[in-house]
Amino acid sequence: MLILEGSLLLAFLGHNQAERFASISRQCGAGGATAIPAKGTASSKVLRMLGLGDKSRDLVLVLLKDSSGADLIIREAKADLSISGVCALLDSDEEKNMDSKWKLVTIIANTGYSDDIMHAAREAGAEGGTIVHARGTAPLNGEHFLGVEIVPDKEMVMILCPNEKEARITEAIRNLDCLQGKGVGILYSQAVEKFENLGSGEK
Amino acid sequence: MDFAAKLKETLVSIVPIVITVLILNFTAVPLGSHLTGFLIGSLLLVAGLSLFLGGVDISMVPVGEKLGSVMASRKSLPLVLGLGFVIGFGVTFAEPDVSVLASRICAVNPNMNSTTLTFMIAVGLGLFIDIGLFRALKGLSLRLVLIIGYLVVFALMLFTGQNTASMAFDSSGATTGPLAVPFVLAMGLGVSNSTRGKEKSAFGLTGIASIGPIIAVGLLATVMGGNGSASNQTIVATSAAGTFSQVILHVLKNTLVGFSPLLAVILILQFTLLKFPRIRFRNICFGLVYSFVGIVLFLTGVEYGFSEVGVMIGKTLSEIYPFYLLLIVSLVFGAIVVLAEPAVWVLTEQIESVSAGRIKKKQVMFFMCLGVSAAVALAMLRIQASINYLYFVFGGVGLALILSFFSPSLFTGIAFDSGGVASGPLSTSFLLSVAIGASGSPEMSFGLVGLIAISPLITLQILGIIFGVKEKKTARRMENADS
Repeated sequence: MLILEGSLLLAFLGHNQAERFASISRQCGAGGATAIPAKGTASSKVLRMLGLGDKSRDLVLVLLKDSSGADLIIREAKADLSISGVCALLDSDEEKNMDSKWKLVTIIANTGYSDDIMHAAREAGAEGGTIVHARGTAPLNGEHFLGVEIVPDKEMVMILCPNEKEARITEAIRNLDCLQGKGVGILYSQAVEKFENLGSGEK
Repeated sequence: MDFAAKLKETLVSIVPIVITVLILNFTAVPLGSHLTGFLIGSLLLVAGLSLFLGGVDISMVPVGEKLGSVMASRKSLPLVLGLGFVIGFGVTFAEPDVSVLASRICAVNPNMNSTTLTFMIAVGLGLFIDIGLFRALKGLSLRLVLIIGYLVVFALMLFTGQNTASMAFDSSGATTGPLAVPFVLAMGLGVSNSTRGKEKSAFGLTGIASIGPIIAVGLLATVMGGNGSASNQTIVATSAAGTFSQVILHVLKNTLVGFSPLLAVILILQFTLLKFPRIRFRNICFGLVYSFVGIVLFLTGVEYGFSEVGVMIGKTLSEIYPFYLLLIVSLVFGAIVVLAEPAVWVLTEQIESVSAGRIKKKQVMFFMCLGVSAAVALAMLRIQASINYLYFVFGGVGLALILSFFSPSLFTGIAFDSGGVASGPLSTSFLLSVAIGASGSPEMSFGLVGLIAISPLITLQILGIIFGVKEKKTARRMENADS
């Protein structure tokens, strides 16, 4: 097991682009990359209204020793025409985050709520979001059924937004009817050190 | 859903069939006026398939998954078993293939009654979905359940003989069609999402459920007696192709009858157990509409353009040309028809997402093609040489069970799920029509669908073994790189 303290590069990419991005990262000196299948929503309002907004996306996580490596990866990824999406760099160094202009808002909620969360976020000004299927881990001595541990099925929604929109977006999500119950979900925001569009300028 | 991307993918998967039929048209089997119908049918197939898949993605799949996870978290065994049975039972009536097959079986075997037969298949499926759900919840060994299930099947088949065996396996293949599979598959995923040990039980529910109808039909045949061998009725199974509007009305009526129980179940569940929030529920409703329109277009295309052409190809090839040409054509058709089966797409997409993209859609489809290609050719060989069907069943399923000891359990689940999935509406109408045309009697063509359902059990487990070996190698290399 390798433990690094540094920064985390998140890349939200089109379907099946993870492998290409990972190999670019490796060429630029990163140790490796982790790919996660995800879902995005289309920017067209009409498509979303008709329930046709879902798109398959790839989310790639790359751990870096320091953020300078990220510049190189981002530059190379931008030059690669087969890659489209956005990149966000999260830094463990708090000083660097002081003057960040972007926020990453993450919501982890019970399965089935992501459409409503994204709808509310968009109404409040978010331009897009990425949804990852996940599951909670059962607490120690958690619930059992037929001798098997039961764990809650979850969805994780990640929304990148400029600082000034963050308050409105989180407010809108907090006020959703379906999130009023106890224990249905959590929300947190992180500062993003660097934010870049890749490829065709798609968000 | 990304409709444009889906359209592109389905287009690519149907083009090979069109090209093959066109080549045959200009060489061995001139189709004459049927060609136009076939081409219109192909267009409908592409449009219908992409609409259906997109719709399923946002309706049956999320509903099934949520249902599975709610079942687990409610922690009530009666609820799980009750719902499992009702859904299995209802889904059987939803599949248009089942009633078609039931009436064909009854035409050959006068001792059987079509309603009783459908009812028995439904009960069989319901009970085995219960067994499958119980296994997924409890995390029991899939291999064990499959071995016990198929041993019962083997014993029954020895008793009933090959005609019943072929009917029984066909019924099973028909039951797990495009309406049932996405829902059942998603339910299995939902249960395994909510319990520990995700990959181990994510697949296999459809595979276990497929055993139900086999046993049900076998038992019914034993009780009712008669092996159907004496009858010499020449009933052509394919519905007589009428005008386009007749076909679409016929399909619309059948699909509506099938869809409504499923719709009712989903609505009742939404307001009692699932309670999806507003926007998601709206999307699910849209998804249901898309999948309904999609499957109607798809089935219309198949019935209008493909069945007749299939019979013509089978008949002409077997009458005029030497046998090896039919064999080659069967090999080709077997390989390319799977690509256009709706349920195959749903399954391979699920596999990709459960394995987090490790197992690619293309790999699974390629190995399915290999299997079905061999199965169709073997079925033609069997028609030609009158080989006992039981050899195929014992040999094929036996080999699959042995392979399960060597293949990773994830792949065993995938393989047995693929079995029922590979035999969808396109094989039950198009390939079956070729077989009927070639054999001249519906009786000998029984068993084709069953063989198609058996073949992926073998080929996908082989893929699993290859995959396991490769993965071990990569892991070793990573270890070396780390140290």
